[in-house]
Amino acid sequence: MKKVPPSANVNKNTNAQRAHGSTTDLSLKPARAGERVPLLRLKFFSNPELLGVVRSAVCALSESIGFSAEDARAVIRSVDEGLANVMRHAYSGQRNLPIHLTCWSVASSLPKGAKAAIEVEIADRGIPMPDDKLNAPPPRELRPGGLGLEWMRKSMDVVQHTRKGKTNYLRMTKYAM
Amino acid sequence: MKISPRRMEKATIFDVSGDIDLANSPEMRKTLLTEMRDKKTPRVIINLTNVRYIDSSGVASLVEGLKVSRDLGLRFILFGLSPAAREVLQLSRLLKIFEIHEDEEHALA
Repeated sequence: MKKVPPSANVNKNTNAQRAHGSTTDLSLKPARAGERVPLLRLKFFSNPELLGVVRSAVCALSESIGFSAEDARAVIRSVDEGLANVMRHAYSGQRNLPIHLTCWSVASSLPKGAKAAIEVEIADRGIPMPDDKLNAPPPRELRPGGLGLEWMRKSMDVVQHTRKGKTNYLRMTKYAM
Repeated sequence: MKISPRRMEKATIFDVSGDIDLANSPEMRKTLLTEMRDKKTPRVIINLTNVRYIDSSGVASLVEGLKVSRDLGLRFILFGLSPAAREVLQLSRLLKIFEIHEDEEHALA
């Protein structure tokens, strides 16, 4: 078999990548307004020991699309609280039930001045969050509990709970200014 | 998350490290409350210098510690807050509720 010099291989691969446009395909940010780039999809079990793993992934992802450390912390905090609610309430502490987390980089409706945006969806098939909890005002007195939802609402630009069929969806969007 | 008490004559310092979240905040809560109720050291100090992340269940445990300290007549002090910890206390309007110091020296002063 004829040996191919290493440099020839590199050139061949680079040309192939160019031919298929893989350089732009690898971009994590939308190229045009209206584009929504899927970035990450994780399926994992409702075990609180996994929260740190998910936080690490979402932190790295947020920073890689242009979020500052402070904005990335806001995203991580909200994802973590959303997942903790699923584990604690929707799944009543059972550790072996499925949770789906999906993240997109979005550019469809960036407000003026925003340089990036991330959209996160958490889906589970547990008990839906009761309306009275969703609509409860922030806790006023000094007491444990009830903080997570308030943190999510203060940390993200959009927080929306919905249910379709037997699936609960929490969708959150954060703009990096 | 790791938590270990350092006992002094008039103060107990809890050195906490790692991430405090749903997986381990019950352990932190139990360690704090048991020590406070058993020893009743006049000053309970939480060293958060090496805490990278704290979730709402962790903050709830600190709130419970503060309430128990008030019931027992103890001082409950935090120091070494990371930006992440400071942000969540700010979001919860708790920055002025807790006694917070920059470092151990000031917490013991």
